[in-house]
Amino acid sequence: VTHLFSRTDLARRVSARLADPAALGASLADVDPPTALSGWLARLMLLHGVPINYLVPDEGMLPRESIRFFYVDMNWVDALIDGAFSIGRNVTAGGDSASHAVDRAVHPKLRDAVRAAAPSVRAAAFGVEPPAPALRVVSGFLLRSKVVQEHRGLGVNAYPDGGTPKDPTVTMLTVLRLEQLGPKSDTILCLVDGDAVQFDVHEPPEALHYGVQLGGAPSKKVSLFTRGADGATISFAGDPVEVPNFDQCFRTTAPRTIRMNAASGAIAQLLLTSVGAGSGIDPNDPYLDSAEMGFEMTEGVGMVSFGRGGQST
Amino acid sequence: VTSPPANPELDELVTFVQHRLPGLDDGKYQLTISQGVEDSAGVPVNSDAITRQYVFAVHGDRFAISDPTASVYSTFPAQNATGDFSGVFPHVVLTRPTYPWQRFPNDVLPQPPPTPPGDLDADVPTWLAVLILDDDDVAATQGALSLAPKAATVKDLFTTAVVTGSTLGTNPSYFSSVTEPGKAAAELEPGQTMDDAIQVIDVPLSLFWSLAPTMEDLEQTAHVRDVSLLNKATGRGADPGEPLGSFGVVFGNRLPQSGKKTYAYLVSLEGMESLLPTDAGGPPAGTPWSGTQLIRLAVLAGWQFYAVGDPSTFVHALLSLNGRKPPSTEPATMTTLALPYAGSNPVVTGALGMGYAPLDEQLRTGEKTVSWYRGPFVPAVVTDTVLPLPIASPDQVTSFDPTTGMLDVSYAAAWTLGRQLALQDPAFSVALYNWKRGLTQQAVDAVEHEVLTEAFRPDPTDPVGSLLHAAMRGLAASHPDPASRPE
Repeated sequence: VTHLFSRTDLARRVSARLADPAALGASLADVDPPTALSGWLARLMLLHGVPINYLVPDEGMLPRESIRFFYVDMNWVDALIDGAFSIGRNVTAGGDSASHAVDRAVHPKLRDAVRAAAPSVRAAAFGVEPPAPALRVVSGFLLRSKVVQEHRGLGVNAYPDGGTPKDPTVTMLTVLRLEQLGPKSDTILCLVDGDAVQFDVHEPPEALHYGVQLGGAPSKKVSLFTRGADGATISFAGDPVEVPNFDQCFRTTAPRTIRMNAASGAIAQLLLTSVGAGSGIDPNDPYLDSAEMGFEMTEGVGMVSFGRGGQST
Repeated sequence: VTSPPANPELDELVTFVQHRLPGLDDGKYQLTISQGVEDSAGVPVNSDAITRQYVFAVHGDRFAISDPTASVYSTFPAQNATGDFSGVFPHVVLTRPTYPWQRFPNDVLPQPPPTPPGDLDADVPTWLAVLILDDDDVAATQGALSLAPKAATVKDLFTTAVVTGSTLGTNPSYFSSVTEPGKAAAELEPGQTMDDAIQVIDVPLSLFWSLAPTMEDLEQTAHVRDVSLLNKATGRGADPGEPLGSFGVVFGNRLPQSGKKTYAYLVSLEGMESLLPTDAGGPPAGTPWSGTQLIRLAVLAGWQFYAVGDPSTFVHALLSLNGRKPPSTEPATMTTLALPYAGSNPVVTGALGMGYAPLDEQLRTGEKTVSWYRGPFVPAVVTDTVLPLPIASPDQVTSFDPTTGMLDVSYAAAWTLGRQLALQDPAFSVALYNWKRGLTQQAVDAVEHEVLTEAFRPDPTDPVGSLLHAAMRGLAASHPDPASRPE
């Protein structure tokens, strides 16, 4: 039986197996990459941890107060991921080492696992279910501006061709990564799954401010509303209307100081005379509550759409 | 109050909520449980009811915010912002939606919370106010006002007669009703000490009365906003971990002065009902204080901005990106990541337009050269897969550009960077190496298994061999099949 256990024979067959991609692939057919590894590589796929000077090699490409749109070259990302995956691979000129052969055999499965895990990175930050990825094209933008620092929480929506708010059906692209590059950074990186033709950048709703019109006496236009049967939902009716005698809601001794409760009463009176009982205002206590007040005093959400062929508000 | 979104797809709902009252306000609590036993006639069986008492406290920031970066989400206008803010009321966005109602400005406590079946929508005043001051106020008070908040301690909120060493003197502050030294300590909540560092501002009462909100105003100057977080950026502080966010918003009641540096303060008005002005901004009826006295307020947050210059709104700032000059509607000329180039060399123009940058490179052989590099962000869609994956070495993906005689090291740099990032994280690189070693072992095991299986294939012409095979098959079976090998 000596020939049964020939060490040379075994070694020869092992190296033959490692040299034969098809046979090696069959041996490792049912291998699934550990989720910890594919998750780490998914973060790398979204360029987490890549220094900014690798993304933008020269500051002149992204000066202050600029926005730059791009597509992600997935070849570059593949090279990045393969570099990380190459730990333990013998680097040879021709790629004919045994470790290289094993990497080649499991590479397709690993690639699929990494792509499947990519949308989970952002979804996990918000505790929501990750959407199904397509990842045929990844587009995005870099925004470097003081608005990033001054308007914490600004929002971004991305639309594909034929799915913008101007089109009959609106579709929104999955945001893969939307991240301020550091707590004090003035730069936001956005990556979306798909070819975005329009990005809408809007003010954070929690930061909408109270405003009045100046230029002479202060004035304010408010939206008339009617209250739904549940008492909590209100709907608009018509265009904003000027509040009568709004300038009298300011103190005479301190003309820039508003009497907030008087303003609340003035708006409530306007609603009572214009809308009547439908507004839900109690005629015996004609004041808005602070939520309605917040709604009437805020100025609308500022939003800028960036599209191909120019920008528009 | 909910505003219906213009387009349901946009999922940008913001819900305004009148107030969100905490289950328990900040302060000390005593819980008493007693149990008595009665017979069927209602006569107590045990002489004394069994009672237990528990004392606990609900803690909340009182005269200073312990973690400003976590508690104050944002301010409007932002710190040091410049713009036309003369028509806006500054505000503070707080991460905790209950914070504006955790304490009360009322003299008499506790403020009874709205309880069923009463009017649950009753207004509740907030104890926070945003005070807006500028240099003109300093001039108007002949310098009695100082705009910079002063460092102080909690004991400086008591009159000097009550707590020796206090800098308050006889001026009004939060503890004006305390007149006996022995009762001062009882005013503090568990966890507070007289020496806790705080920031204070002293405001002449005449100025305070003209600017401060009334109790009715305080019912209107704060509300809660529930917003979706899903289209917001991560990377500033911890990830929220949930798709919906809730914020408390507190508004100022004074417009900033145009052309001036404005100082805004988030101050506490806890228990200051009797010091708040009348609706017209006059002194409260029957007040014992004179307008020249200074009221001391604890500053929970302070920031400055300049109400000068451009209409520095969000929209204007975004429209001014890429060197545009609104209201011009000219499209921006430079919208891709590319180095500006004034020359006319078509090769350089093409390369820079594709996002390449010429960078110094130190070759392995020691020479220095200039090579093309570009990052992953390109101006056009790249759909072709051009790389031989896995990559054998960085040299394999370095390409030579014959028109310029320069190397393109983009993919080689990406590969090397990936390798460095992996090595930097031992948790990943060790796990990856172990996994790969297991894979190689699995391939070797598969070959071994095949060798053994082939060797013990039965030969029907050899009876001795068949017997031997039957015996050895048991041995082969004890060699595990690699397919069933646990990871």
